Amino acid sequence: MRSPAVTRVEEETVHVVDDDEAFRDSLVWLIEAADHRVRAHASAEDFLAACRPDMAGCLIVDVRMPGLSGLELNDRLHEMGIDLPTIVVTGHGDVPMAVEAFRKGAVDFVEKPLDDAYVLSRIDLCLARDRERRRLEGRNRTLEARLATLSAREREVMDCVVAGKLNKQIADILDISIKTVEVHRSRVMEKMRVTTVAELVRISLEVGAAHRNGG
Amino acid sequence: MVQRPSFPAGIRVRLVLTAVISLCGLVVLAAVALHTMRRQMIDDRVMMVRNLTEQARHLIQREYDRFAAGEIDEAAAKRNAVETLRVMRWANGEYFFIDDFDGRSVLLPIRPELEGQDALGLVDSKGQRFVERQRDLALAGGGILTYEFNRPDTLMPGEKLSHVRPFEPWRWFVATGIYLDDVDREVRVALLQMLGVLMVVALVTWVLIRAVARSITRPLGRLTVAIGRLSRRDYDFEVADRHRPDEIGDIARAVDMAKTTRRDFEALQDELRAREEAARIERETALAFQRDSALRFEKTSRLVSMGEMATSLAHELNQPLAAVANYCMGSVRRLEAGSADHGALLTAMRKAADQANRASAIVARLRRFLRRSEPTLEPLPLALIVEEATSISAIGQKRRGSTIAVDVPADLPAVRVDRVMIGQVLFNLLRNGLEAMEGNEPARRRLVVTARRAEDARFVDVGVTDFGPGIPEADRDAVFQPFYTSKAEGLGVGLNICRSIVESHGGRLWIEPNPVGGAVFHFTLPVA
Repeated sequence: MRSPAVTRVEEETVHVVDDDEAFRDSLVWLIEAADHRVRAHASAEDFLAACRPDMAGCLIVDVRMPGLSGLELNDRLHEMGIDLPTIVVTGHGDVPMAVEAFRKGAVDFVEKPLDDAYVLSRIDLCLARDRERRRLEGRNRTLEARLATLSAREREVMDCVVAGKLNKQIADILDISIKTVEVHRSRVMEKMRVTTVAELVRISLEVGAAHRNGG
Repeated sequence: MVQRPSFPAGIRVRLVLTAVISLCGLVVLAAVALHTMRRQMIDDRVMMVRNLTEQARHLIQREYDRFAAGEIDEAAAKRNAVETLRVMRWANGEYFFIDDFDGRSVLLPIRPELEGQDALGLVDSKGQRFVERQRDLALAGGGILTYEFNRPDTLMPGEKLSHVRPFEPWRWFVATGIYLDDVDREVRVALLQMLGVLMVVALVTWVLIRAVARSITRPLGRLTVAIGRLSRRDYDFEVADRHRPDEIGDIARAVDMAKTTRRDFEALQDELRAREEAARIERETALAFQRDSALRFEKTSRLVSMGEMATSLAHELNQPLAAVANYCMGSVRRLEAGSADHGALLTAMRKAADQANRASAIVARLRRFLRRSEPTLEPLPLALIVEEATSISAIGQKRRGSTIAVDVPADLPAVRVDRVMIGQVLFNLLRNGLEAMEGNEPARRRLVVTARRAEDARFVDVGVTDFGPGIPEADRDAVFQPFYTSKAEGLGVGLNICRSIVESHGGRLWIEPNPVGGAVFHFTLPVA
């Protein structure tokens, strides 16, 4: 599934952050039963100390902890530009907390005691999302790399093609011969590894979206 | 104890005593003076008698000289001398007499018939042969002697003092004397005069003393009565003698001032007492009302507490129960997948059992805390109650970052309390303290429970110190009112009930400010 272009930095890991040792340990036991790699952290601070920007996997964090709470941890990760899918675990009746969790954009919210099937399914979902995220990130990086190989003239020609101009119009705009436009155009299609104009348009949109999203 | 005479009588007696002593002194002085006077008078008379006797001898000498000169013969000379002396009188008719050395009377003007007779054998009333003594004295050269002889006026014997001088040429002795009775009579007259003067002096003194004594003792008596009335708290009288210019007046003014001051003071005191009494009644009424309310709302409070505790319990129980579920489901999945490692499963199951035990321990603790039973006072170590209350309060608190520090000395004596009720009091105070610090940064969410022997050694003083915003002094009593609350959702019966419970144990519950910010709730419990 993984894109071959993405470098494998870290194994996909489920990070469990909870101050209650017994609960933490039991959760590790449960998640390991589903053949996931699990790392346990006793506090949000411990996790922050261990986390890296290129982490892969997801986060299960208790909403109430001494020191940083689960939601505060989520904020902190966001500030650091780490976009790890997060499941917030709450005790009984913490409805306002749950609302807050959703508002902050946490992926999910589960209540203690945990329904094992539900939790594991949400973990799978999170991991899938993370994978997708990382795939997109990887693809963007590839496309960017390909774009970078284009010459300035080729880039101008591509922008015109994507904008739907005909070769003759492009020749007029850029004040070059149609023959030259055709040469540049075939070089662009080759460098960007596409065969149709439609594909070129899609790629250009994806890269543009990634740029707009501040990637 | 001897009953002392009253003050006024004492002064009068002393004054009279002084006067009597003075009079006695005067009398003694008079006696001494009279005695001296008598001696002086006698001395005067002795002198006079001696002079007169000497003159008489000169007179005889002169006649003898005329005879010796041959002017007259001896018989004429003797006759001249005798006759001249016979008519001579002095003082109270005192006279001269002459006897010769043989004791024969030559001249005796008052009894001429005895002249020429031998008088040597005459004796006076005391048996003295006074003529013989006179002659012997004359033979020895002359001198003074006393004896008794009939007075010329009364013819009664009287003590007589005579001077005798010899006239050797004619073997005569001449003498004259005085009766000492006369001296005594004069002394008696002087004595009477003196007594009269003394009487007058004594009378005047007596009158003066009486006046002085009365002027002192009467007002003193009145003042004594006044002071007596003051001491019986009777102020309805006028203090007399206030306008006197002397010391009595000073005392009277002082007593009057004391009267006024004390009357005003007692009036103030009465008013104060009345106000205190009114305040006490008001307070008791309020307290009774409060107690009624307290009892009525105790149930409510318990339900509220139970509700809050149930919420905490749900949180706390969730932890082990969730852990148990996780262990179990993790194991189930492994068994289903057939990937079960026997040792790992065993460990997981043991951990699950531990967590189940943890859950049941929490339930047991809570059940013990909530058990409703009749209040029973029993001696209990305070540390036990503190441990129970803090462990329940701590439920969920650790997760909020609060800590509860406990400082209960091991040697603290046991207290005599109802375990459940005092546990609830402590639980309430702990909950209040924790809630007060919810706005604090985590490092200052700290509660300290201390216990000490109170100053009154019959009590133990328990303190719950928080570091929250504290309670303004103005609110420190108000927080104990029923339904007082600073919390949006609180019912506010907690502290009111707490105080009732502590007071029903004989202790007190009060608030002090925490010097570094926050409040300290103190309560005392009786030592078992």
